[in-house]
This record gives sequence, C-alpha cells and structure tokens, in this order.
Amino acid sequence: MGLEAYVNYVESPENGLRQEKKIDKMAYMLQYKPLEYIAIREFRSTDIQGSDIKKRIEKMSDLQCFNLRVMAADKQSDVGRLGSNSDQEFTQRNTYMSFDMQNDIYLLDGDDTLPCGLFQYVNNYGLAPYADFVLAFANNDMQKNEDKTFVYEDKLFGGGIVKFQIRKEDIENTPMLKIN
Amino acid sequence: MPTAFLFLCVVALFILFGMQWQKQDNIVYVNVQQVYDEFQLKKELESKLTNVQQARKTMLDSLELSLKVLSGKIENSLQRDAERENNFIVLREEYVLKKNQFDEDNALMTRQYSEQIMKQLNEYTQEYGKQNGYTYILGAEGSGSVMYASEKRDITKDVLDYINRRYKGEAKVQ
Repeated sequence: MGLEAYVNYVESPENGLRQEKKIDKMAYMLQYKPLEYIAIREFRSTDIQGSDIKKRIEKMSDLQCFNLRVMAADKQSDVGRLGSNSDQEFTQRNTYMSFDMQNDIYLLDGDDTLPCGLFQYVNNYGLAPYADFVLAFANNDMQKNEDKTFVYEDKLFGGGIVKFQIRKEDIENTPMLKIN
Repeated sequence: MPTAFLFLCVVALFILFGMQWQKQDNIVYVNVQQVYDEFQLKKELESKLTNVQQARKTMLDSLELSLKVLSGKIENSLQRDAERENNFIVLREEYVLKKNQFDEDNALMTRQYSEQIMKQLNEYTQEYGKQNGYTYILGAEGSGSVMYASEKRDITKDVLDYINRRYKGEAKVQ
C-alpha cells in the first residue's frame, strides 16, 4: 500500500484504528498510530526514502502511540470554555489538560495496565474547537497480540470513564506499507 | 373492474396491516432499574465510591477513637489538666470539620457518578435504538410510566449487552 493510501486507511473509522464516542455534550476521538503512520506524518511528504522511514520506526519501536481529541459534541464550542465563562476555571482546565490529565489515562494491554508514559497537550489557544493530546505507552512485546483498551477517566468534562478498544485483528489487518 | 377493485382493497389492507405491524414493532421497553444496576460503569464507579468512603470512614473512626481515649483520660484524672482538655477540644473540632467535609464530598461524588452513569447509559441506548430502527424505547421502572407491556417487547437484555460492550470500548457492536 502506498503512503497516501496507508494514511487514509489508518484514519478511516471503518478500520477500527480511529474511534469516536459521543457522551452527552462531549465527544472523544482516539487515533491509534502505527509507527509507519507516525513516520509518514512526520516527514510531511510522499517523497520519502524507505530507509528514512525504517530508521524512524526503529527509534520508536519501544512505544505504542495514540492521539486523543476531546471536543464539544457540536464540534464548534471551545472545550476550554465549555459551560463556563470564568477565567479561573479556564486556567484550571488548562492546567489540568497540561499536567494532571496524564494521570487519568492508562492502557489495558492484555493483562498489563500501562501508565501513560509520554503526554503532550497540544494547546491551540482557542483557535480550534477541540483539545488534542499526543500520548505514548511503553510497548510490551509479550502482549502484542492482545486487544488494547485505552482508558481515560474524565474528571474535567463529566464523561466518566471513557474506554476505547483497539482490537488485535484491526492492528494485524493494517496493510503493509510499500516503501522503496 | 370489480376484480381490480378487490385487488386494490387487498393490497391496501396488506399495506395498512404491514404499517401497523411495523409501528408496533418499533415500540419496545427496557427495565430501567435492571439496566442501571447491571451497567458496568455503574459497578466500577460504585466500587470506587465504596473504596473512597471506606478510607474516609477509617480516618474518621481513628479520630473518634482518639477522642474517646482522650475523653476517658480527662474523666478519670483526679486533677484538671488544661492542656489535655485543650487537646480534646482541638481534636473534636478537627473531627467535626472532617466529618462535614467528607459527608459533603461523598454526596458530591455520588451525584457526579450518577450523572456520568446516566450520560453514558442514555447515549448508548440512543445509539442502540437508532441502529435497530426503533421509534421508541420506553423505560419501565415500576413507577407507573409503563403500566403494561408484553414481555415480547422487553429488550432489556439486548440493550444491556449493547451498552456494556460499547462502554468497554467496542467500536462495532452488531
């Protein structure tokens, strides 16, 4: 599969690697990111050498990566200000999203519970009506062939415990990337 | 002509019967209490709440015991000990403060958890209804909102299975 088709495949909700859940006024979207996908996205070009992709993949081989997007269900309202006009609450929300939220996220990988090892809140300063988080967990080779359940215990937006299951079949069925 | 008219009447009857049948088929009900009680999120949050409340109770029990011991010492001492009495007052105030705070926090947690459960429950039930083409899913809860419904229309088990699988994170639930 070519680079563009590969990216489209990974981002297509039908293939199970991207999932969305709406809970009341909030919507949560999880994207599982195969390492090839990350490498392609980082190079931002379709003219990439296969060796470059392989090198990048090797560097990240001990990680399993996800993107989490939290947005209002109407996909228009600013999540930082949703349901509140108070500046103090806005600052508290930002602080939570920048630091404390990491502790409320974990990955059930087979029999293991993996804490969120890498966490980055992509602050768009209200320019987009969503909050993006880049996340990574340790890659446990022993559990590679198990379903993964991503868990976010939402203490900010009122959604409660939000779970996404990435099935091992969907990971295994991801087509091979055709690289030179 | 009479044959054609008869044919049209029969077709019309079939359509009407079909529509009626479909209408009846689109109204189902669930046992709300059963769905709520057996919803996995409810069980998980209930367990969390119990743990937190238990930890708080242990802390309060410990303070209460200290208070009782101190009170016993004060009552049994032959001479008045101002420092001990002062300690008792401070400890009692701490106990009352903590108890009030814990009571408030427990009530808040219970309310927040209930809201979270209901939000997800409603969302998944709506999804289930849309996916299966139901016009109405009524909630029977024994309060008189649904006085009678045939057991054939009870989809509690199916809804429970669906919402628990969706809660666990399954993306595609058939």
